[in-house]
Amino acid sequence: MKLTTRYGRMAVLTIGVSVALTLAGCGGSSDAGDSGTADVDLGTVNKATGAPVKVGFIGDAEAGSGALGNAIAAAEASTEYANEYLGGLGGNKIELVTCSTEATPATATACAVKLAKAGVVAVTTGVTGQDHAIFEALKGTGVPFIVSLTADAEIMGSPTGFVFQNPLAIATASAALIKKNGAKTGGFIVVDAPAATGPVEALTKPLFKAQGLGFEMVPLSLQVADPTSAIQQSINNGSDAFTILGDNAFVTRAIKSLNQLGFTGPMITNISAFQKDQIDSLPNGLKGVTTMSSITRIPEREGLSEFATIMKKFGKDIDTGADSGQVAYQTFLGFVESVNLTPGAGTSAKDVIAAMKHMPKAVPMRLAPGLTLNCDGKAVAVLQGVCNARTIAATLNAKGFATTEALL
Amino acid sequence: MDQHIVFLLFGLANGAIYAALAMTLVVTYRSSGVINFSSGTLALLGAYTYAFLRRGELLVPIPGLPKTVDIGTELGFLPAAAISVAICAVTGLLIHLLVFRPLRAVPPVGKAVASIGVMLVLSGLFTIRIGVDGVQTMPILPVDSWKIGGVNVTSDRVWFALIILAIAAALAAAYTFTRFGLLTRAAANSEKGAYVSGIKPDRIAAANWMISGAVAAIAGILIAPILPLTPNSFTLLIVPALAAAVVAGFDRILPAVVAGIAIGMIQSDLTYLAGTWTWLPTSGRSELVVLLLILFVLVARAKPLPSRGLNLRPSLGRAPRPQSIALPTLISSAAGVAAVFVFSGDWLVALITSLIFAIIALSLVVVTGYAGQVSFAQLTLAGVAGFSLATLTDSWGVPFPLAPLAAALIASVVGVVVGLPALRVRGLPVAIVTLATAVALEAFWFANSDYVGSSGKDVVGPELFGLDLRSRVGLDYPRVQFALLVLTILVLVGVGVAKLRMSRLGSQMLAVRANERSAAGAGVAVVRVKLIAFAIGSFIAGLGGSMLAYFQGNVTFVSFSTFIGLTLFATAYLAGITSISGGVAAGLIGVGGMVPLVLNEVGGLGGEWFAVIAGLGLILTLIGNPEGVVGPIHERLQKRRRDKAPVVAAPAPLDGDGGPPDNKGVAVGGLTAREPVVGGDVVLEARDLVVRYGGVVAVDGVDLDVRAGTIVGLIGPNGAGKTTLLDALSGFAPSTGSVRLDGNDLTGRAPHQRVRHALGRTFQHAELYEDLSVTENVVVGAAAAVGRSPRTVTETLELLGLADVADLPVAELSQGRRQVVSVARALIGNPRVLLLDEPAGGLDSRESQWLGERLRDIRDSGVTILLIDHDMHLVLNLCDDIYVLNFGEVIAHGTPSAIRADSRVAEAYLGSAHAEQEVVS
Repeated sequence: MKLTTRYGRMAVLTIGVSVALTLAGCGGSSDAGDSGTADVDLGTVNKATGAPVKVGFIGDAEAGSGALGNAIAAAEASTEYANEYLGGLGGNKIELVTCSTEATPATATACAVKLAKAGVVAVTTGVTGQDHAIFEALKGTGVPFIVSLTADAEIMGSPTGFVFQNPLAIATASAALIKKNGAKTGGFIVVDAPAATGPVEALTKPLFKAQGLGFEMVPLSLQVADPTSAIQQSINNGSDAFTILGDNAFVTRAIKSLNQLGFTGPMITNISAFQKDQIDSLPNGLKGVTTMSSITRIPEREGLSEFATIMKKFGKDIDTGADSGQVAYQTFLGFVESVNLTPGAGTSAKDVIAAMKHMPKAVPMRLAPGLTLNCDGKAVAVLQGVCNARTIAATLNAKGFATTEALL
Repeated sequence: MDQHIVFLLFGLANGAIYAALAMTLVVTYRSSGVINFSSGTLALLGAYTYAFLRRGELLVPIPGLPKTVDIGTELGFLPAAAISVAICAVTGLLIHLLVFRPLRAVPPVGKAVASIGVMLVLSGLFTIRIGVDGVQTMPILPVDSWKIGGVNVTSDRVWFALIILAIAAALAAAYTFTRFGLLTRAAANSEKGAYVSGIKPDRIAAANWMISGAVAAIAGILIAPILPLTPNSFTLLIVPALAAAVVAGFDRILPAVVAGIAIGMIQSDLTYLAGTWTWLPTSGRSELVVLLLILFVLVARAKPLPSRGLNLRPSLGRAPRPQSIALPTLISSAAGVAAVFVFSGDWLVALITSLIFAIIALSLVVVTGYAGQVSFAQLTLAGVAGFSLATLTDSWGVPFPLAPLAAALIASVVGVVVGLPALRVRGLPVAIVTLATAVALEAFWFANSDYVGSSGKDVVGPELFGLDLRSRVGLDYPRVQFALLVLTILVLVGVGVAKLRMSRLGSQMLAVRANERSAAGAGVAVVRVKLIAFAIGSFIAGLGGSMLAYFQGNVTFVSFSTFIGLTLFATAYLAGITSISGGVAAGLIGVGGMVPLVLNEVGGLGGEWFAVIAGLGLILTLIGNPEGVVGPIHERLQKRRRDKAPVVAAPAPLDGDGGPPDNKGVAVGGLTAREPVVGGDVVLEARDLVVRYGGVVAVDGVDLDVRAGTIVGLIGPNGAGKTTLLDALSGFAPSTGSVRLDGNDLTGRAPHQRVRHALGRTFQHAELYEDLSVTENVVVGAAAAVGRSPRTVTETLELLGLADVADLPVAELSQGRRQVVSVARALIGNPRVLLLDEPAGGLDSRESQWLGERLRDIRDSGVTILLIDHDMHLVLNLCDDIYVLNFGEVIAHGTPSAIRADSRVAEAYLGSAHAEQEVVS
């Protein structure tokens, strides 16, 4: 998802802030993934009673301003829920301090500084295009930075960085799927920008080489509306499987070209939320496309209704189909539940880091049945900040629903 | 070969998109002289409307109303398309009525900027109303698969291209064969002419705006199934479309469409070729193709866009001359320092951002405001410095302040390269070149992972003599020290720009901006001045870019994107691109600055509203006040200054001591004739001078001798080739044959070189620099006196009776005085021979007599004069020797009395009875 966050900004003609609006890294709302309306039982009330403790949450836009604003709004609702049902953070009432980066590095730095000065015990975020600036500013403060997904190797390798989705997962899972399908060479269709091509080149290429698979980079310029020729050229070069990383508009375009070229090999993407009109516009629908994500795509699976209920009860006007809200909720509560495994933790940044580094057991990730978090530094060798090595691979039907999901 | 065919076919879809947008560009430009940067957003409106109608909803982009209206049923293709086309046609009409009709008298650059305003408003509204999620529509065209060379090629792209070609052919035919088309072409050629011949150009323009709205909608509907619709998905596509329109000279529809399709096909085939030609760059290929095409066409052809016979307001606002530097510097520095200490947190971040963007905006003041070169690449040049600074500090350890200076120098060099095409082209084509350059640099450098890592490039902060000037140290952010550093640089740049404005170079830049021909005629080396402007402007942009890089501690392409650059240009234009205060105001208003923060904190208007507000502000500013937000303030200041200065206010322009005489006390008979002077040696000699324009011979083998100390007249009926002959003598028209001045061979020399060899010249319609004072106008001409001492300003002004109006802006003078100012500008360069093109044009007989006396004074001071004029009375009484030209040939030559008696002269004027009368009177 991070891979796509800068894509939006490139396509925006605007003045500063509105740049943020297209940052909906994971690509907006999904009709297919929208959760049911039936309220579910939220379980036993467990009110936070301890002294208030401050936790930071950074989004790329203010709550209420479009799809991106969903992130901060969802974090606020999640905080209320945690204070009501999860006993806050280690029994202490969470006081959420939020800040919007407005998608500029200068403001993002100001956000990180503001939160650190306010005395937060942790800075959390879903996905942001400004992770680098935020982390740079937090360095040396001892305040941990919790993020759903990043491509910044420094954050992944840092003792104060906690990453809940494995950036390598898309590479490893792609490799596994390609092998399973008997394909030989994976083409990676990405936005032609360093933030997107850089990590793929650095992380995926060596992994594919090591596994004896061919690797083809297909960077697509945003100036070119129809990407067919670049994709055909990659097929000419031997690609017989494609992994497409971008926002849903970008991915839709690529899948459409592949459909039109009569490509029948494996198609893998990081996008799990497609809109109905996007799916309808594809000649073959999303049939056979595998999505890799931290969010389940089977509507009936546990968690989605609970999420909708919580957002409805504690929030206002939150688009529960939007990825930005889902990811914020998943990350924020994943953080709270990880810390809460250690009794009494959560009153200082140091405590929080210690609690996360020494989780007595793994914590199930919300909206992701089967995925768990454990931040002991062992999930991925070398990258001590990554708390989860796996991803949900869902194979979609034509209409974009998953019927089965596998953990890869 | 099969593969080439396959890839060329693949390119059809993109090509058809460019072609469709290029078609709307041409239709709009031909009918109203607007290069419509909002074409893409207009097409997007059509696409959105269509997409929503297919879902059974009518889109309402106006805030406050419901976002969509349920129309109960999902419309089919035809009704949805028809409604969408109708809505866009009406929108086109509204844009014409509300924006471009009020701006009719604004020059093309202003209109282009207004269209950027329209684009900001529309895309801002889309962002607010629809959001950024991609909207997708079902395919319209048949998708059959053809197997070519083992590859699937679908038919829809072929159909798309054919449909666009068909529409283009139909439109072109309609413009060629219908009365409406004829009227459009007539109005395009000369709006004034159209008025005279009874056509209402307004209605023609309105109808054409509706047509271009409709064409845009059709384009949008056809593009929609290919490209998911987001508020800005079409804006990027305007650059290749511009290239296609450039190929067609913004004039012909079919060539534009063919060029658009060809660009798409070439880009696609290059993708294939990149497989074998490994030297092709991995990023930015498509963008470079577009840039190279534009460069090739514009520079190789160097033909200006077809211009229109319009009476235009002066292009940009006046560039007011700072009255003093010390006081404003002191006041604004004090205010800046106070602000730095008063504000903190988000407010200080916004303040620093404002200061940095003010620096970059000042680079626009130099390049565009002073030198008149529209550059959309200034933020990109700031980026060049930013990325260079990262390498200099982080990789090579170059310390402050060497690093930012070196980075700014690199930007300066790149800026000169960006500015090179401006040597061959003028006006809007320069804007198009800089836009394409910005896009290409961004793709090829800033966003290329071969050069930039995934998290951008880090920058090491500045330190000087142990003084830590970094923007952040730990949690100390943003630091006052850094804010003061940026403020210092802004103040230095501001003072530098003020000094530039007051210098001779500054006057020369304004001279180039006002009129390149007349600047060259005054001896200004136009090419050099333009390049210096780009060099200085880019250096300033580079300083700003370095500060932005220091501020962020890291650079990515995002901060320097072409679009933010376009917005910066719009903001600078809105604030006042011709003055230092305007540049500073641009920083405050612009991206992430103080004003948006206030709007957000106080007005509760989020960033997405800012585009709409800035766009509207831009349009309203252009309509009401071309000098920008700060314009009225300057106006008031200047008025107060004038009121305070009684000396300047006293002389009435026409009746003052040195001015042309009034009715009283002067015989209305006009200039009295004197015995012709024989003169000394031949000082200006032309032999067998020939000027050809295409197949037409405008000057046909003219021999001419002008003797020292005489006034020589050049007369002849309209179209006889008089001005062309002057152009050939002064180097403005390419000619064969030889021209010698004082024994020096001037043949083949550039205009400004001839001027420097003491051949002075004025132009018809006195091409003066309206916003410069009389003195400043005259001083520009001193550039001509290379290797000779110029006359002093006082001497010149006194000789010509201009001393009393020396400090007034030329715009405030009477016609007679203005003519004399242009003579003074040529005279100060101390020419041996002065060429005057209709110096008495537009003068009444009193003024003309007065002018004649001044010209005699000039002759008596030792300057030889060759003049063209239609005022026969003046010519026959003033001149010592006269040449008569007809059909490019000298038909008579002699003293005034001999010319009067020559029957061939009267014959030449026959058919134009009043002229004959003039000759014999």
